[in-house]
Amino acid sequence: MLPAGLMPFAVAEKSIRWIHGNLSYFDPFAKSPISEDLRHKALAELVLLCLLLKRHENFRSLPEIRDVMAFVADLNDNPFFEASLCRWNDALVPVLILAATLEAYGLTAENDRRQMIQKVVRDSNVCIIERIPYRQLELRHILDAGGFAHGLPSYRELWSRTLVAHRPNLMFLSDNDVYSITHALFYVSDFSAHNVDFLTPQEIAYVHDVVTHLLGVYIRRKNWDLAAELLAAEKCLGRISRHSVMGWRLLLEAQHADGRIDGPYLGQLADDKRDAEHLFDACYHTTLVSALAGMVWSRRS
Amino acid sequence: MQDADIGKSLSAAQTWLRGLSVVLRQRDFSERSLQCLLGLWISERALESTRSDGLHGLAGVISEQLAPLQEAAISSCDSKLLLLALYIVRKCGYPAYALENYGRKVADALRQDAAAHDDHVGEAIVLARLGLSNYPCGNAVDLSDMRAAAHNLLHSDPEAIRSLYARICAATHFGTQECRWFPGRQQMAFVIRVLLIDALNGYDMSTGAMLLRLAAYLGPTNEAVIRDAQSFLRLQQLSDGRFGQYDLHAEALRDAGLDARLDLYLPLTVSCVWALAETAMPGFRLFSLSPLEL
Repeated sequence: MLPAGLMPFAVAEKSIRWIHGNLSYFDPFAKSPISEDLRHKALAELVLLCLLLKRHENFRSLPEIRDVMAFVADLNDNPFFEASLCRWNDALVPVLILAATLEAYGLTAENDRRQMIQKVVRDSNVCIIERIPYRQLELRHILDAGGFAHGLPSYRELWSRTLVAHRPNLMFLSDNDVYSITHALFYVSDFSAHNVDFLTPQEIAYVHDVVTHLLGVYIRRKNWDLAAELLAAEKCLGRISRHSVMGWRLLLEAQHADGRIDGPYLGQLADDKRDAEHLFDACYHTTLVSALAGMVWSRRS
Repeated sequence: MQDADIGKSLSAAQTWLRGLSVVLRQRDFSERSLQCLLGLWISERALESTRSDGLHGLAGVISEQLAPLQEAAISSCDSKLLLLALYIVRKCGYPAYALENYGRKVADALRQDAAAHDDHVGEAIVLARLGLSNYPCGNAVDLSDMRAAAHNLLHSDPEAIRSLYARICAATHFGTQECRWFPGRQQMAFVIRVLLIDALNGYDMSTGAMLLRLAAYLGPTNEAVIRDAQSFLRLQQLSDGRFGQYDLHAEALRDAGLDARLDLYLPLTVSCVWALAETAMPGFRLFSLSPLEL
């Protein structure tokens, strides 16, 4: 068996290989039975993953990532993104992710959107439209990550509005509630790049307790999507536990030879519908978030 | 949550059980009467309330019903429930010949097979308090072999959960004894809390109530998860005192030939009363019984 410390990298590397092999399905403009909205979401998540992988020598030098970024750079020329930026304030985050990531990889061309984005952030409703708290954290995080000026409240203030800051009753949490907990932790820690220093040690201990118990629940349910998110969230708190070692072992066991990790709704997909596109639909997020968790857990260069 | 809130909850459940006991007194003997008797007994003791007419009335009727009956009437009932009923009926001052016969037989069987004690700790504790056996006298069941199993328990099926429950009840004498330290105890307590969250989050209240007691037996009891579970159970209590939001399934239950009040709400309410009493009322344990002479 692989030593515990190497499991996250192994999971991430194999996941990236699967993503690379299924790259065409991330194209939101290609003809596909998968909804366009889902592919836009998938693309934004893939691009964010690339932004975060750039921080790690072991990942950014992978040939698969070079190919992914070339694919992303091609898609960036589509006028859809320019329109998203200027016309639809609620669609800004994916454009921000795209711009920040292309810049990070030095792939900006003549269509550099930085100035336009900064104008939109300043002069439109982007920062004042109503969002649920963790989505507001998401906006703040990507604005900060991309180096854009903004007037959003502090992380502490935004955190105080989230579900987890209100000490929820764990018995009532839905899957979406758990996603809101993991995402809040991703953003306030910049995906584990920073300590969450506005929380007291007692508050950190409480949130860690919540995360480890939920990790146990989702491992029990074999929901690898939320298990992977919770593994990443644990590391974002700067903590590890004996339960995370078990989580990594089971996640590694759940990963297919080609790197795919089954999503929680795959079981609902009829056998005759398990073609490559529907498999992508059902599994891309779990595989992608496992790569993210592996990146967060791998030693930073 | 304040204990006073739990007290109100137990009091409401007691009122519902009391109403149900009036119905059961008009019917032929069944295990449901024993369950109702147990629920009334737990709520009365946990609330330290004075003599409850519902409890004594039902105990008297059970005593009468079982006087002429032979083993067949009680053979399908749970053995711990029968012995607890014997204890309660005697404590209320009524004879219970069929139950006493049964108790003597169980005591003889346990006396002849010491190895069976670990699987029948609950029975042995009650028999000892009834003066029918001198068990428990030895050490509690050893759990030191459970270290390796702790994480595998995360994937337990219902049968494995029941087996875990039985072992920890045996090790702690249903929470009346401090569990001896064993390697992996902390891990085991964590896994039980995870199973508890999973059960209640999936609205399996019966398993959740059982795991809530188990979490308290193994400790620590001041965990946020335990408070969350207590609060969750209380929020599932209906205004008449029974537990569980199942009225929306009433038609399906009827179609399945079930009497929701007796087949669903009664056992569930007793489970919830037992769990809330043992985890929120200081010092309360069902199996902490004072000795009783037959």
